Amino acid sequence: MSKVLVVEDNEMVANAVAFKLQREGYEVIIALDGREAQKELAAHQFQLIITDIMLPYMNGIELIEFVKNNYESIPIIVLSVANQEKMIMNAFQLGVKDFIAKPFNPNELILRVKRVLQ
Amino acid sequence: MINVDLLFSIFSWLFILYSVIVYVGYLLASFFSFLELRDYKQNNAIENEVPLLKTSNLPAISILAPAYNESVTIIENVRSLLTLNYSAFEIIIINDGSTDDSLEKLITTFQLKLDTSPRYNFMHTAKVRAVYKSKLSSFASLVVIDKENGGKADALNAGVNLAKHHLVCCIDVDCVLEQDALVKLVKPFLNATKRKVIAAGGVIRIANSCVIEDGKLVKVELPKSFIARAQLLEYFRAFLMGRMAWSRIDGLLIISGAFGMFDKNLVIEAGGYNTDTVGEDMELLVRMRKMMIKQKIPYEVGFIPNPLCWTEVPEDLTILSKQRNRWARGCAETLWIHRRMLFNPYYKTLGLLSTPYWFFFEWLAPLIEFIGILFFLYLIFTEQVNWMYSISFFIVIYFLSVLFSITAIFFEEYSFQQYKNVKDIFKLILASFLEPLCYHPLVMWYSVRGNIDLFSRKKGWGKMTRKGFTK
Amino acid sequence: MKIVSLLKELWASFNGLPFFVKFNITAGLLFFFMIVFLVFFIVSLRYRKLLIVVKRKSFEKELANMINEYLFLDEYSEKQRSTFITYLKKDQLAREVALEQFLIFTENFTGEYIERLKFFFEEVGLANYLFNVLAKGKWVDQVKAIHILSELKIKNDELMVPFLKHKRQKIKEQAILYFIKTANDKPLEFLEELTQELTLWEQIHIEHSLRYSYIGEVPNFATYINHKLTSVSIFNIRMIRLFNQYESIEQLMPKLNEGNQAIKKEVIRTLTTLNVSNALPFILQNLKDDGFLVQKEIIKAISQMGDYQMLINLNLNLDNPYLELAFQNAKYNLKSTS
Repeated sequence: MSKVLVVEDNEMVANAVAFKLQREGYEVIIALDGREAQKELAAHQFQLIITDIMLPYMNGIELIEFVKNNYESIPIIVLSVANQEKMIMNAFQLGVKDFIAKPFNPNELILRVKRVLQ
Repeated sequence: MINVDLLFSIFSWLFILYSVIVYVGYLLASFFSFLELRDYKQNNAIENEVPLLKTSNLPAISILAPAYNESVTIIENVRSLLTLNYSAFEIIIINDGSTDDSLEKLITTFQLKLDTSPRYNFMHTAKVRAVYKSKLSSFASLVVIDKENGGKADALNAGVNLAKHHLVCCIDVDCVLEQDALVKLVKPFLNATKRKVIAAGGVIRIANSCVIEDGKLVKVELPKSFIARAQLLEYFRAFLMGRMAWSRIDGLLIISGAFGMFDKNLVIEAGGYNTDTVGEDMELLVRMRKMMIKQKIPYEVGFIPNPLCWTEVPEDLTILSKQRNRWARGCAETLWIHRRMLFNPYYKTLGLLSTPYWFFFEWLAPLIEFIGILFFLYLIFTEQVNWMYSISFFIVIYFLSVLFSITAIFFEEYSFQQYKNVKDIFKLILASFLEPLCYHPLVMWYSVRGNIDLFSRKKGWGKMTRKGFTK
Repeated sequence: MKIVSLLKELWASFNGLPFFVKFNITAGLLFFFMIVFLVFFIVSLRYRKLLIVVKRKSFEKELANMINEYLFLDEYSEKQRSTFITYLKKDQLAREVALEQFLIFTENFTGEYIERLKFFFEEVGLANYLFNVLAKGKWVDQVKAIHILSELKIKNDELMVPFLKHKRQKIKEQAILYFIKTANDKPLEFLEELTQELTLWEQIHIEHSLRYSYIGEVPNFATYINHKLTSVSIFNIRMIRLFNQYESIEQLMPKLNEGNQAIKKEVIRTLTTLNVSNALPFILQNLKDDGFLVQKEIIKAISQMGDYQMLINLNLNLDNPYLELAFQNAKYNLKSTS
């Protein structure tokens, strides 16, 4: 069973994503900001990270940089509003696997997750 | 020998008149401030800012941040400014002849290079040595002006001269802005209909003891020291009651230098910041308003009650005394420059209410208080004190001051309460009871000193003070 | 008895005091009681707010879970539905929280989930609840109701039409946005009816609703560029630019003879952004009679679509500092690129 870290500051969206992923058989841990994510990363072994870009304390880009430096093998999917092109470009340059724009279709999210984890 | 009885009865009647005026003013201020806050909250009930962040229709803003020997924090502050939520803005840092390595730090960190594009001096300023822009596209919105020292007003004028955009936002570089500060402060300009919005200001909050990381406010905490708490109460009274109410009746005379937005062309037309006063933030707004009234153009000044800008207040008495000294001089100078407005019905609310208020309650009150205390000491010394009278007067003044603070705490609770802990509320209430005794006499003395300094160094109004960036 | 006589004594001695002292003591007492009252009031407010926060948290958790169950579980029972409905009826706060959550879900999801959300929203009676608010609620609640209904695209045009002319700015604004968001086509039809200038704020929200909520065909903005209201005309000229409606250039050109400087400026800006370089001669036509704002825009147009020589040949009267600066800048930029 793959373990997924969902980093998203809106608790409701995070819970919905988690709910859907759990239904599909993934184990999910939620972090509401970048710092919580760092703690979870230290505590668990993840097979995938799904992260927002606009996060409190430490934004998604910084988090991605952190993951790339410390947990290079974990693939990342960005799930974010697509209003800051520069940020998205940045994220891809840092080597994220996929980008899903909000608003999103949860079924599509699952498809992309499956593809990345294959 | 002074005729004590006569003096005393004159004093008593004046005192009653004064306290009745103060009390009526207090009731009106509470009432107007309540209406203003209620309307603001109702009108912004569903305001989401996402459309503002996604549109290309927003008016662009030039942020002007003068800096004088801020080497320790400048890089962090600029970085934090660069991440503000807004779609179109430039940041102009004005290095006002710093003697430390601020400029070198900026140049190396942001890879600045000389910019030689044409400039126009709408206002005269101290010599601009050079203008820098970053080689890196990620800092494309950063501009650094290196100029000779000329004081804060002069630095801001240099910034206005160079600003590309129609709106300028003047800030203190050491302030911590909320991420959505610009989006919120620009709203009055967006909602303008028939009246031209000339400026908008916001509430200044106190950052002492708050947790700040990378130039961003992470957690709001009540200041730990009494002196900062007392200033917190002062700020509550000034912003949540005072300025809110003045804004309601369109009589706002000041937008804090720490965070305010202006229509650039109007600033230039009015002649920019006045380098001859230390109260340049107040003086500019008064002059702009005067100009609009004279040109008979309907206009308004916006005011946003959300907490947008956080600043550290002095906990050190020497620094506090310098600050208050400067405020007192600024107030007196501005009133003197615009003395023709006082009681002048031509300026409506400004002439009949705002300027008289500033004259009597902001400028004159500390002086009267001081004289009152001297008189009282004289009476004690000559053993002519009527203790019953004195104590009863004292009780009225004391409770009235406490009442002001408590009401201000109520407005904090009603508006955007930042201190969620019940314990914090009790601490603030306690501070309200102590403040009139332990803190107020100090600031009163500082403003008296300010006035003494002003008059003793008088060589024609204004010119006497070299203002560095005293904080 | 003792207390009464004590009070009487106090009253007598109070009466015996000089006037000023009496005045001061009365005023002091008045202030003191006001302080006590306010302190109680503030503290009780604080406690109430803290309680609400706790209650809210638990509502949020439970309601979100129930909505998730509906959205993502294959089997959803009648019993679950009725629990949800009773839950909503229990408390005004629960309803508010539920409304917020539906909004957040609609903002974040697309596809079939939106349809399901909408269906669920109507099924549990929240739509009807909002219709009731529209019929007889406080204006602040009405604003929220219109907003939520339009986000969820729950149509009830009949109920909404009167709000288009409401005297409350905010209600009117939401009603306008409602008609754009829920329209199948011609989302800007309401502009014909408009009698008051649009604020920048409204324009931004109209643009946003057109881009992100409205699902029909992008309207032809040129239809409204001759509107009697300046702001409407300017808005549509700007939209031509932002939506790259090259097909409208022909209709834009005559607007260059427009007397209204603000409109003319916007037309030039749009032609510049769309890079219609053969419009330059027409843009320059009345240069001498134009105000400096238009002249400034013309300089920008040349620095993007023209060349250095063209700029020099303009022979502008540069006595306006803003104009001069724009001119020098254009010169600087054209020189460095050529």
